[in-house]
Amino acid sequence: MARILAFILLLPVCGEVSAFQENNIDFGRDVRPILAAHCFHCHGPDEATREADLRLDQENGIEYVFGGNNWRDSEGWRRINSTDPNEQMPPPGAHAELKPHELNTLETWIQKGAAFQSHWAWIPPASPDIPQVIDQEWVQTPVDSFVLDSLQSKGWKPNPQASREKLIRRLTLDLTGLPPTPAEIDQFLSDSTESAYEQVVDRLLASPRFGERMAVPWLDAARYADTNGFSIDDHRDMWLWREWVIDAFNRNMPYDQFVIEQIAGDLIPNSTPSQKLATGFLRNSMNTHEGGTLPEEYRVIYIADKIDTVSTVFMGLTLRCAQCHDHKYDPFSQKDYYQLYAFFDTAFEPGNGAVNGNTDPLLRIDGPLTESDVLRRDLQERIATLQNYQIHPPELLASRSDWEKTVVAEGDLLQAIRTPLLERSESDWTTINTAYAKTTPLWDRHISTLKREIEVLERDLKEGQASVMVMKEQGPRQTYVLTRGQYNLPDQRQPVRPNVPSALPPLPSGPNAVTSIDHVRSPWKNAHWVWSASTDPVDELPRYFRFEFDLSSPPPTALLHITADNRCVTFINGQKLGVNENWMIPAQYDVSKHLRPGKNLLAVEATNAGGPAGLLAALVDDQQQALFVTGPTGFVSKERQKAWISPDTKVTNWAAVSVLGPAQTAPWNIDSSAVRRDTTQPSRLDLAHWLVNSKHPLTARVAVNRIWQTLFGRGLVETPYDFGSQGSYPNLPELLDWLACEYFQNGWDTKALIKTIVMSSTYQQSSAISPEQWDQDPKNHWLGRGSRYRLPGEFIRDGVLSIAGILNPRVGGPSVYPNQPHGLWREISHFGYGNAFSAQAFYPSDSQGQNRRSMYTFWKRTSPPPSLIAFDAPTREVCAVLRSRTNTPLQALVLLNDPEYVFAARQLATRALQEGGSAITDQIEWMFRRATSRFPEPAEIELLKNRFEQARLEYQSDIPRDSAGIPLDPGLTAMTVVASVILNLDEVITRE
Amino acid sequence: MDPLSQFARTVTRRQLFDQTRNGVGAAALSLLLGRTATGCSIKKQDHLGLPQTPHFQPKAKRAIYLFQSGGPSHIDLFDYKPNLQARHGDPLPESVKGTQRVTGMTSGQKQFLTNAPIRPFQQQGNCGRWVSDLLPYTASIVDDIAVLKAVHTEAINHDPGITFINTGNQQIGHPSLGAWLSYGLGSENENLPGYMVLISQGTGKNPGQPIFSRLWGSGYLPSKHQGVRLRSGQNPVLHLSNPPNIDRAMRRGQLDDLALLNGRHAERIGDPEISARIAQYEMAYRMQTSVPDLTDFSDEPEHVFEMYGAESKVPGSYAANCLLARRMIERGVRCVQLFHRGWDQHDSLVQHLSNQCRDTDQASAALVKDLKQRGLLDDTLVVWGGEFGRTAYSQGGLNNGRDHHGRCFSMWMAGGGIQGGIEYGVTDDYCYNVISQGVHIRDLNATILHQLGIDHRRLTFKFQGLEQKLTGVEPARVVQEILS
Repeated sequence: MARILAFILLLPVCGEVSAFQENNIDFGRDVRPILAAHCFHCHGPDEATREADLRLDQENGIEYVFGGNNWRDSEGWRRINSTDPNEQMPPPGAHAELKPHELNTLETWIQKGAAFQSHWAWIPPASPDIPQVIDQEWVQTPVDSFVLDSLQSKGWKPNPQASREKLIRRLTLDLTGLPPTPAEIDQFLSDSTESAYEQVVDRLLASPRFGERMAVPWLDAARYADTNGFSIDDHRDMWLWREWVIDAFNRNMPYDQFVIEQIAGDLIPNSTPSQKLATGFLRNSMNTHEGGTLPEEYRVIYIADKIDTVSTVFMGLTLRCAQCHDHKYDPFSQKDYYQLYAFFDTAFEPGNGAVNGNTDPLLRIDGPLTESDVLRRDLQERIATLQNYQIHPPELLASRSDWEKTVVAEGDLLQAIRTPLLERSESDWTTINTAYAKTTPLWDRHISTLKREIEVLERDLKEGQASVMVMKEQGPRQTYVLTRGQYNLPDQRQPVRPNVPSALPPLPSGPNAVTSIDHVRSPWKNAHWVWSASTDPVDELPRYFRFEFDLSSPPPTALLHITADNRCVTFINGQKLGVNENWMIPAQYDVSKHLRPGKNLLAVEATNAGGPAGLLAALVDDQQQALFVTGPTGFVSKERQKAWISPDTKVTNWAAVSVLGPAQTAPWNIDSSAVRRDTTQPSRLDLAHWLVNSKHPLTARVAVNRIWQTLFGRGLVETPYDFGSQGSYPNLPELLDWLACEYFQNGWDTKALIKTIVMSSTYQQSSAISPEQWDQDPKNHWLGRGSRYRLPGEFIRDGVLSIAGILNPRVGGPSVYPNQPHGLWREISHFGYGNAFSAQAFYPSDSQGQNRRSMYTFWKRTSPPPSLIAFDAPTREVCAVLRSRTNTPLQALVLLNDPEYVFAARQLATRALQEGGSAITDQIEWMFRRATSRFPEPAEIELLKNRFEQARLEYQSDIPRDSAGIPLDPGLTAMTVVASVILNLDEVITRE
Repeated sequence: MDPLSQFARTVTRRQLFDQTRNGVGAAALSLLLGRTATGCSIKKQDHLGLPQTPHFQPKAKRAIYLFQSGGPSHIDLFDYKPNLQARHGDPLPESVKGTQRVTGMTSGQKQFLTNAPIRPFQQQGNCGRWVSDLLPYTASIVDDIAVLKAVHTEAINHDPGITFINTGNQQIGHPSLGAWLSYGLGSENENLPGYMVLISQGTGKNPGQPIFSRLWGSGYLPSKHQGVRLRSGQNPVLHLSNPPNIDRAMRRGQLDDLALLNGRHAERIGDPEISARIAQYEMAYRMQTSVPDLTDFSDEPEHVFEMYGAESKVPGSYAANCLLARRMIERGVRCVQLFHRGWDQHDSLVQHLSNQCRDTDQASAALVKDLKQRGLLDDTLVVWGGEFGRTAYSQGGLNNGRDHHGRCFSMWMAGGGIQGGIEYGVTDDYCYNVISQGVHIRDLNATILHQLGIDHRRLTFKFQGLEQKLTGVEPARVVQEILS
């Protein structure tokens, strides 16, 4: 529906005046950056630092300063050229001196009349005319017309098409993040039909690998991680949301829907669980439960992070600046910031996060890609792995083995140690470990940490589903501008309503605008606080409650809301749901699976810790219709009776509960309408619809730019995080706008957009560079050749695993723990704290989890996967839409020496010996082609064959051994040496 | 056949190895690289910093930051107030406590009782600096250090506090001080990274507060500027050692092949980045000897270990890390940062604080003395301190512990153009508020940069539309008063 709307609204927009000028001097490209860098600080959007009430980011300011009949006499030009320190602009000492070429540009511009134009990115994209170019043969898609036109205007020519081997390698890497297999290459090479290339494109777009590949940059943008980030940085579960992302890309979810669901899926009328799950995007914010935390300080930080993320990834705006003051360069006031903030301020999110897991509000749900029985198996396998580590902590194996050799043992211990490793019984190990533990303090710490890790998993196992943090409205809240961005300094004189920045199009009004449905109703209506009889003295002993209720037909979705002052353990039909320690934050349990037709039982163990005591619960369906609420029907006992949680148990001597009052009874004040929404105020859903409205100047441009960046390594706007006046000007602005218009005209069809791009001749050019090209355009701004750049760390590793034939192809699932050096987490974490936290020490996965795609590697924010960080992965603490691309010796060490890569080289060599033919040269060629997608040149084979033979000679005279001392085959070891060279080739780790 | 392929055909591992051993290999390689560059200019050497830095003649060429993670108690160590003993157990006056923020750990306390220092202070050195008996060795270097007694920060909890002082911002995502130095100044040694990090765990509070890779991270700077964490054990730098069955000669052979094959590819494709990659593999190869050479203490005479303390022979200890820091500095590493954990004495104040001091006192002082003896102190800046101080009032019962306190705390600096034998900063009678000569942590960072020849206003990196700086947007001041 939104898509159609976008299309209709688009029509009048396309065809309007282009945001880009044709003149030699383009205000936006050439002049504004100079003014922004040198003048805006005092003569720009920020009112607080504005001098002389002059704004050079606006037309009238420009007119005032540079206008007039004789440009040389204009105030502006005179001041710029003045040598009088009182007159000179920029003022001496401001570290803003104009450079000669900047002066020249300004001079030409002023001379020509100092024409002003709004910043290009604030003007909605207009579908530009497709340039007519002479070489029509080269033009495969309109993309090529723009590129060729630009190249020809410079007198340059595009590069010829890349070889077919390169083409399929490029396509496969770009669309799946993996290299093609030799069979795929052969098929393409042998297919001489005209549609061969297109068929490869279609095949790759339909591959489940496509969603994984596209998700990787989105995980960076959405700061996805598996830990909470601040302080103790314990474990959280957001992998269900990661599955949603992969699935969305694979199903080719239209981008507008992709945006709406992630920002406001919970507010869509009758939203599906999947739409709620999508809002995990916003909950990827870091959170904390550091001891001294002041919750409101962090609640504000979480909201600020959401604004930072939303404004960066969807709009390319640097709004973060306006948290504390008006933006210095772009037309966004501090008030604009807090109006945007108000959209998120009404959501419920505690400032003090949960410990060892997800913070409310959360959702338990089956994964889009992982059925609950698969999850159960995953959890059981991981628990088994950890239980094994309780006997054999990986980090202590070597030390224990050394200790065994030196310990003076007698009795049982001697007996146990004398038993060969594989024959030792559990009790032998207990004997050994008990004695060994006394010599190493790390032992007990590992045991308590492992216990915690297992406990965390058992929670999900018990629930049968994993949880994910999602967005949920709490109810109206008055938002204020926060003075200097300080959480504790709301400016009472500046209340704000949810709204969008005034420099951008307004929220749409009219029938489709503000969603007038009261999306969220309170579950608490008619629910009452109850406790034992008023004559029952207040103490800190538990009270046991039973509430029976009948359901003729349980609804498919049912949510139990429950809280007790101070603590409650909740069971439904004998099934334990969980413990809630904080009465101010009622627990929510999805009990859909536990309800049955006929009689049901809610059983609660509630404990007071002094002061008022009370229990409140409500069971509602997905329309918030009550199925059961606490009231006079319950029974209570001080004694815990056998099987009291079972619906089949009959209890006697239990007293009727006493009713204390409705939900909003003091002192609890849980508002029976607490989660109502003020429907006169726009919501996150309106914000989301506004973003994908065709009049929005940024959303489509930012999105297509990101896709361009995904396919070319560099965006048309090279600062994807900043489309504002300080960002870089688009290299081919008309192409950017054409793509943006194309995107929403096609209903935000991402796969179609990608296809349009990869079908172009521009995309298919060879990436070879001549010295002339290097001199003319070292960074390939003008796209006169194919791009060439080192792959992200994830795809390097995935590619190597795939080349070696050991990549585990499973899509989705919980995060995994491929090996990393021991101690990296432990040394910086709260490992070993008396009451252990999760994710403080690293415990590697079993073999199933070792060779998964890197996007599934458990991401601890304070100590991210080292072999990915070495290749410029961001830490995922804040949103990142561009990775740096460095070239360091640490990368060489990873690729040469990381045991994962060493293992892959050995596997590749093993397979080469088995499958690569009988001749050494054939085996080498087999490996080489798998890795590079091409056949080696004779000289290359020769070189590697020499290496093999020399290595084999050496290993024959000095037999290599594995870590257990068992001799290894010299031929295989020598072939491994060669395999490692091949896997380290620049060609292998580079997309070209 | 092209010349390179011919060369590849004829070259044998033995020949190349011999050449390498004789130092000819590198020359042969650069010949190769020159040929493969196809006329494209090779990129500026990676180990160099920005062309415009240093902005002026630096006093310090290198820095060692002895970061004491958790918040050392300034009251118990440096900020001597003779009256506190008499006020022990008295409620902290409201006029002192004021309305400033207190953490969630003590905000609910019914009483805020003044807690006197746990050990006596003595005047030390020619300058007569008051120092706690907890720091007998630091007492011996007071004439070489400047004690800043009124450093302050806005943060009151660890995560924001330690992030603020190390990255200049409480918000996440900014580069660390060391990364800024690497970005601005590069490394003096192309065989070692420009910024290295060493971590130790104290015996005070174990485990201490968690620390984070962001504290030495590169934020929005290119990631090659992130601190490289050096660990004890077989692989001081991750994956430094060759895998089993690959000796150095075998590795050399592999790298020779890689250089030739990559060189051949560079010839085909013309991208100078390939030449840069070959160079990085060569640097990795050199690091495989330069790092073990760095971490191998066998060339240190016994009296050095005596100076740093017995623990200096225990790899991974604070003392060993101090000695390692000196060895790094000698080799031209630009910035070395130690993180010593465990300064978070909410409880067990007497025992745990004493332990932390015992871990660190001797080696910190030895480092300053050692640098001085070797003539390195003049151009090496040493900084000692944590993310905040601790409250004058007790957390829980008297002498039980102290909560976090950011309003004022003590740090010291030495060498690199800092005056010795001085103190700067005055706090009130309860070490609770700054009276005068306050040094905000932005000022501290501006001063550190200044000593290394950097104008903190001009070391910038454009990100999110702003010329970002270590010291952020609010004013920062170089503390000229402590400069020599």
